Order: sequence, then structure tokens, then C-alpha cells
Amino acid sequence: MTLKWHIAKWDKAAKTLDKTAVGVERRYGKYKRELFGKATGRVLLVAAGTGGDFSSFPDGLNVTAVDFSQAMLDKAKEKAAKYNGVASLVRGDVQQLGFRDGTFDTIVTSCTFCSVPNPAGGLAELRRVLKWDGRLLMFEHVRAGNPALGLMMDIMTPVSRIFGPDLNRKTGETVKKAGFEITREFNVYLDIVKIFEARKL
Amino acid sequence: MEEYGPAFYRGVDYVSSMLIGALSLGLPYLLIPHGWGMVAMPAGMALAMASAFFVSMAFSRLAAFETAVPGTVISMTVGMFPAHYISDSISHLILIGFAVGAFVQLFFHFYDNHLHGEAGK
Repeated sequence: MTLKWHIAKWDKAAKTLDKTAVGVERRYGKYKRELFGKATGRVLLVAAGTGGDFSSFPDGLNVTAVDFSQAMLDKAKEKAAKYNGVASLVRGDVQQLGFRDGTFDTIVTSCTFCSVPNPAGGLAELRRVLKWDGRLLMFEHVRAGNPALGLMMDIMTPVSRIFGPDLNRKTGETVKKAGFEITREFNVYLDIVKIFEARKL
Repeated sequence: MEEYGPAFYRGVDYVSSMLIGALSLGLPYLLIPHGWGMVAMPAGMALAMASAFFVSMAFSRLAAFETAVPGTVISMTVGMFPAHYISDSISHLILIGFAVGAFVQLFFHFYDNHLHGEAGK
């Protein structure tokens, strides 16, 4: 599956994402606000989607939001404009960001690495653009540790991938392999919906 | 966006699981011929998973992984079960489906209580 195919998929998903993600935002909003409240300085929001996460940031930050889907960014414009701080939208691929090394103090992801085509490459790129003392704050869903549930997610993923995200990503392991140290791991629901806080090794 | 308390969401989780349980047992019973033998198992599972998807969509303003994960488990397992061996009454099957859905959701409720919170310590 090419990058073009992935972009087309998320362009299509942009039409319905705000409606289908309402339940997720309602249930997990408090966890996101608490996590994103730790962001400081210049912030990179990866895979901004339709901009639903701007409301979870504290006021006054300088947030650069990237997404490879122009349709998502078009939808995100209104929410970015409402943010009480500096918000800019940039079309870009997390696997090849157009920023200099060590640009950002904080990098935030929100259900991002379930859909990045090459998660290891994407995390290596995040490590590059993060300052040496910067923080990576992640709200992600991952493959369950329970073997039966994990197998179920493996079976479901070829179908879920056609319309949206992969369900069986082992994001915690990929974060460590990319050269980060996970300083906090919090289970929001089972061990599937998780918060990771990490820093560069 | 209005947010509700945990008890409200817990109620939504149980209602959706019970609905998925009833549909997973009832729909294959009604729509798949009893003589299909082994073919009825994957066909029932597919039908049950489709019904779980539609229930999840119907609850999308309130649902999340707490409804989707148990819903998938219920539909994948219950949908494969030859319901006509349990009962030939659709009302009985719906009640049994409600009970199975509630039981599975209860299991996940306790499993989540066990896992929720700081991990890796």
C-alpha cells in the first residue's frame, strides 16, 4: 500500500471523522487534557486530523500541527483558529518532516501511530526534530497484551486497515526501539488505550 | 462537547453489549438456514460482526473501545454458535443474548479495573 493510498484513505475519512470520534473524545477527553497540559514551549502535534485535539491544549502554546491529508487540514482550520494561542497547520508526512533537528520542545501524538505507514521511520523522525531535553507525549491505542485479545486484533487489522487504523501496533516497543526512554505508561482502557510519556535517550 | 460521568458510560457499555449479544444470537438464527452445517459458523460470525459494527455506529456519539472490544468478542464467539441447538424460541435467544452480552461486559469491567492506571511498575 503506497503513501498515496494512505493519504486518499484519510482524505475520505475526513468527511466523517468528527462524527465517528465523538464518543472517543467524550470518554478520553479528560486524559488528553491532562496529558497535553504537560506540553511546553514549541509544540508539534503529529497527525492533527480534523483538529479535535486543539481543545485539549492549554492556552498560550505555539502549536504546529502536521497531517499528510489536505482534507483533514481543511477541516482543522476552524478549530485551529479558535485556539487561544499560536496554531499553524502544515501539510507534511511524519516520516519526512520539513523541520530542522531539535526544533520542538514537546511532540504530541493522538491516535497517530495506529495509522502511520512506517511507525519506526516516523518515530525516528520525531526523535530528530525533538530537542535533546524535549518530551514526547502520546495518547495511542495499541495491540492488547492478552494473547487472545491480541490475536483478535491481529485478525481484525486487515479489515480495519482498509477504512482506518491498524489495531495491532506495538507502539510502546517501537518507541523504545526508536531511541526513546518511556518515563510513564498509563493504561486508560485495558492495556489497549494508553498514554506514553517519553524522552530521548 | 458535553462529557458525562463514568456511571453513564458504564450503562452505555452494558446496553450496547447486551444488544450485540442478542443480535449475535438472534440474527444468525433467523437468517442462516439450519442445514448449512459448518458453513453456518463463519456466516454467523460475519453476520454478528456486521451487527456489532452497526450497533457501534449507532452508539458512536457515546461509544469507544469500552464498547468495541467486548462487542467484537461477543460477536466473534456468539455469532459462530448454532443458536437453534439452544432454543427454537427467538424470545429465549434474545434473553440469552442479553445475558451473554452483560456477562462479557462484566468480565471486561473487572479486567479493566485490574489493568487501569500506571503500568510497567
